[in-house]
Amino acid sequence: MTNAEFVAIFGEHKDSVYRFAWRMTGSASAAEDVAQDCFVALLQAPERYDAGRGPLRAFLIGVTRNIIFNRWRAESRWNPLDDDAFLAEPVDPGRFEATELVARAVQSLPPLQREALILAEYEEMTVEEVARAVDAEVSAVKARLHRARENLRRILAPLRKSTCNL
Amino acid sequence: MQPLDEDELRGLLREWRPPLTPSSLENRVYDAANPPWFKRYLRWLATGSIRVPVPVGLAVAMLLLALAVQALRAPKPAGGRCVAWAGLTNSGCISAAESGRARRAS
Repeated sequence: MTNAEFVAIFGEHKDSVYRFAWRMTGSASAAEDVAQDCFVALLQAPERYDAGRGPLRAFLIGVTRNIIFNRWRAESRWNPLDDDAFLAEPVDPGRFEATELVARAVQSLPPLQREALILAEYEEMTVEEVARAVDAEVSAVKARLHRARENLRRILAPLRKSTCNL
Repeated sequence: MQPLDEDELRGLLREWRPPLTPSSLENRVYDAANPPWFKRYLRWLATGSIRVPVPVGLAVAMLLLALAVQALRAPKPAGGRCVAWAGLTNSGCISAAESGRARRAS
């Protein structure tokens, strides 16, 4: 990969990689670290990207989520089995502003539901693109997305009245 | 409590906006991808590896083995005179007292 090619790729995808990392981790500094690792990985081994398997954006998002999950595993902060056992608790609308409550609600979701929701809702990826990025079946992504939305509807239900008052 | 409907949920989710991508990210990526030579050298010392062809590796291993065997089999040097202190005389050495006696006799 030439320098000019990398500069073009970086300029085109840095925002979506950083946004995704920021929403997954909830931390600006962690997101910057993760985005850095993602692009360094691309620079050091560009041959890992196979254009035949999908767009570069999905590949970079996949690299980013792997970096995040590896960090969480190293810190023992993630157990994939927790995903199904998650029970949504409604938020207390009196404690924070709506934006903060939405952020907390999304970040309280189990990681696999969270990434599916962030990619579909905020990055506006199709279910097929999400499935490619997270290396999962389309049906599995649909199920995670459905559970994530159901959980958020319950978690954020107390905000309905507050939203009307805004 | 009645859960939100799809439109309400979508409207709320839109309120959570990310910060702008920091401008320092680009420099960080280039610095991490092209570290200064001493950092590369340190990293190589810590995590690097050397590929050695099998014949060369075997030859070096056999040479080291042969040197070790030779070192173990070699006779101890005929150490000349050495001085052993009180009660610590070894074969091949003579004590300080014996040494004095030999000198007087000569």
